[in-house]
Amino acid sequence: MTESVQQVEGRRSRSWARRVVGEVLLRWGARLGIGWIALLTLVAILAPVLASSHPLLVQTADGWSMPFLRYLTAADVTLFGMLVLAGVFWLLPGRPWRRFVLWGVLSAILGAVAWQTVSAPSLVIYEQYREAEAQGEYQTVIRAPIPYSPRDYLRDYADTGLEAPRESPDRVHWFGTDDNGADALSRMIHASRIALSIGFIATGIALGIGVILGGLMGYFSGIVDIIGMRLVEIFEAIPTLFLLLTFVAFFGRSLYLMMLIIGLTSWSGYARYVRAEFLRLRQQDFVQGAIASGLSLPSILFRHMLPNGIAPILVAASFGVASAILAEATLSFLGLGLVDEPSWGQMLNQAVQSSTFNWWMAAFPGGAIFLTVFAYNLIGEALRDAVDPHSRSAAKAASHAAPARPAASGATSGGVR
Amino acid sequence: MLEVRNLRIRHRDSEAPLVEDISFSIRAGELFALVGESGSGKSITALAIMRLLDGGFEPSTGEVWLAGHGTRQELLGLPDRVMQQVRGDRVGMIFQEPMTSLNPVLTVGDQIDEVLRLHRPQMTPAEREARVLEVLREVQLPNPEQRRHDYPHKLSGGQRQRVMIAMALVAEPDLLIADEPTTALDVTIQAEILKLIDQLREKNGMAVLLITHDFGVVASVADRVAVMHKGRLVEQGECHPLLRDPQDAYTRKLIGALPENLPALPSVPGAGRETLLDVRDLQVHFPVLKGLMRRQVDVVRAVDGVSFQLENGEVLAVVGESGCGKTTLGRAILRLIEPTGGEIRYRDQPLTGMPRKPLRRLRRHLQVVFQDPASSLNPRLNVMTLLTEPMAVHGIGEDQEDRIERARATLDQVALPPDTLWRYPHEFSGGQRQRIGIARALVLDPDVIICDEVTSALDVSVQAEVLQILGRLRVERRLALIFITHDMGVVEYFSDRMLVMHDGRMEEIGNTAEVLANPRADYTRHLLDAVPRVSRYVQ
Repeated sequence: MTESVQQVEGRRSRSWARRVVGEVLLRWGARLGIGWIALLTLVAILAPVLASSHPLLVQTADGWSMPFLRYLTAADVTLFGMLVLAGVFWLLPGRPWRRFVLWGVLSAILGAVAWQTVSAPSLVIYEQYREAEAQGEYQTVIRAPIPYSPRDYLRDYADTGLEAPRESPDRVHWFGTDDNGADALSRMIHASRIALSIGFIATGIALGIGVILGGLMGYFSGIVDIIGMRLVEIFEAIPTLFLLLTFVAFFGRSLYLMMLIIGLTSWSGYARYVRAEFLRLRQQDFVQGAIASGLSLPSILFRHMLPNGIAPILVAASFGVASAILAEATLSFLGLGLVDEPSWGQMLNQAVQSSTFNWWMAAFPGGAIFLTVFAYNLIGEALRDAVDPHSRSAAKAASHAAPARPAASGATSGGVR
Repeated sequence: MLEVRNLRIRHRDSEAPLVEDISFSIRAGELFALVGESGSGKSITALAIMRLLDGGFEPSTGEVWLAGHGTRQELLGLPDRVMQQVRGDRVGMIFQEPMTSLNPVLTVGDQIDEVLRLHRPQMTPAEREARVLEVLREVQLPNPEQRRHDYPHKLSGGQRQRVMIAMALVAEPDLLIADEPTTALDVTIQAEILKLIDQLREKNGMAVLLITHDFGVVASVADRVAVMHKGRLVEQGECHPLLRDPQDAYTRKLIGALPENLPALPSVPGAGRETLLDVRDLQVHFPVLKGLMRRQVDVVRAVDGVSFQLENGEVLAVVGESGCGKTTLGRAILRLIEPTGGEIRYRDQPLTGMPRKPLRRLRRHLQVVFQDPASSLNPRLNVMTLLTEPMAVHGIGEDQEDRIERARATLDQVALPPDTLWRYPHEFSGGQRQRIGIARALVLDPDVIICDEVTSALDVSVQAEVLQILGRLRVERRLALIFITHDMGVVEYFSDRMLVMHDGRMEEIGNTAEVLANPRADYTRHLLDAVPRVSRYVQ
């Protein structure tokens, strides 16, 4: 029996999700976007290793030590753990969905444990390493690629303040320093965490609420729909930015509060999409067939209807991530973001605030915001094309167009006029 | 009049040509039918003659000569400006879908008038108005003086098709190309439209190129026929001799697949011992709500007082035109739509008013197969999941492997290979999908299957296959079928009893043979008269 199952398994055809992913990857824009986001994610996770004043490895008279380990926060430990687990589960055999769920559960446990046990010392003296090195205490030292922490203001050098990229030859700052003398590249690397997490988590909250409420509205219609749509309209009337400003004024600055508010105010669009899709799908014969087979409501909603209606929601979500990043950048730019954590918007704010115009202070964080938002938009664009059957054939024709015939002629193909 | 020589059409994305080397000619005043199954290239041929194929196609090769008014033109080589004059003026065209071929934001009179303005610039507005009225009268649109100021949504499907014909005829073309002009219409309206086209052809002396898949239609109106198969003309000739004595193997197969020519079905042993379904005075009324307070002002009686009994092993055909409530009836029996009155009993258990939980358990005995094979299977799940999920819900099979084994056996019964299990619905043709739909209904081992127009989206040869499979299953499993259809040929071939519906009401119920031979209700007689049958015209 198992043998025969495996035997035919070779002829298994690709599922819809795989086909869409394949379609997305056909487009160079999406490949660039995904590449940039993947790079950014890796940089964000590895930030404490990539940019830190704490040496990675030193050899003193007492032996070898790794000073940076002592200063890792619970978040750092959790992220490292998640990356390692992701690698392990990638290599493990088994169903992708199951491996993903297991990975999520283990990551959550890891996070909870880390938060309970790991605590970084609150007082950090960055200068100690440079002093120790100057006094010749270290026999061997391996430093991070960017040997400056985001909040290392280089007080020991006395010449605090602005420095253009690669101005002084003995202390190389690739992207220059800010008003306080901190390394701009290091700050940007650490800020990428905020940009990514606010995008993912705020959109995740919005998606969760939107899909559940929209799904219920679309499936049950009638009175549930009427009440739900009024709720959607109420939330659409709330101006997110001003709500954020008010909350920051009342409850102080908190990244998590920001994520929550952006998430809670932006679900209405997703709910509308899901509702419309479910209203359409409800009438489809295969849903009627599922009801006629006596399947349960959760199965009908989430196995039969949601995968068929998810496409426009994913497209909207990838644009939503971009707008959440912009919202945080806007807030930080207005000076209402986080105080001591670096963020791209806040760095832009510094660039404007300082008395002279320093191009590196504006160009690099601005460029990072632009690239990230652009990358998400590219992915959203490619997803939209991939799930839309009309543009799908066009891309296919364009991608394997024979050299003899121009790609443009394939792109205009379609049915009869 | 029209002569097509070695026409060849190729799409840029496909290797093989879609239409290969076809040649035919149409004489003046003749009705020439191009017959074939879907995908045979018949519509593309018509579009190529009109030069309406888009940039996705390579320029057609061959020759298309159009004669008339003392001139003879080769259409494929004409410059676009001249071709635009030919369209509408010399050659008129009507399409299949009357719902979408008219512009919804212009009145029908304006749309006909526009054609005249383009092709008869010398006419004054008064003359044009007179001509529009005249042509609307010609196509027998009731009350043309007022109707021409109506927008398309106010007209019924048949009336819209009349307007389309009026648009095609207003400039008095020499040739009318009709691409499946009656496929979307009910059979009684189809009969009227066909009669109209035939009359107009005689009156105006124009030639007609009729594209259709329906041999009944061909037999009733065509002078000459050409049969297309996979982009080639396999046979052409005078209509009735060809239908009576087809020379080509493919034509023979097509005509043999007509329900009236299929071999008789075996009878079901042990049928009629037990009453499975007892439907009494079933009503489905939809409220019509109006105004701010959603006051109920009226009801739409979709199903109004239908009663019948269904015994095991029996096929009951529910017949009627679109909008008569036959689909609503099927769904109300399954309680996919809540009935508003009457009673449904399944083996002495009342289905009406049954709470959800026990109803869900009972659903395995009453299954359904839908009309459109494209939308009736979840496109995101593979066939294995589609078939085993309902079994798991109803506790059929010991474990997943056992269920897969059962699914495989069921696929075998509907003549599909076992590797079907691991494929997704979009990889199958319409007929194969319909068989998967039947397999999904069968895995639960039901007593009753409601077949809602299961064959009407299929080609005639595929329809024959599906009917034979259903007929065999009916014997093997002693299934009772409620067969909802509008096709009288299928009814005659397949059903034991038939129920005729009209406007939600039951017109007549009885043994199929008796009803067909001796209809009691006027409506049934009217309906039966409108059905085009090959056997009626060809002995």
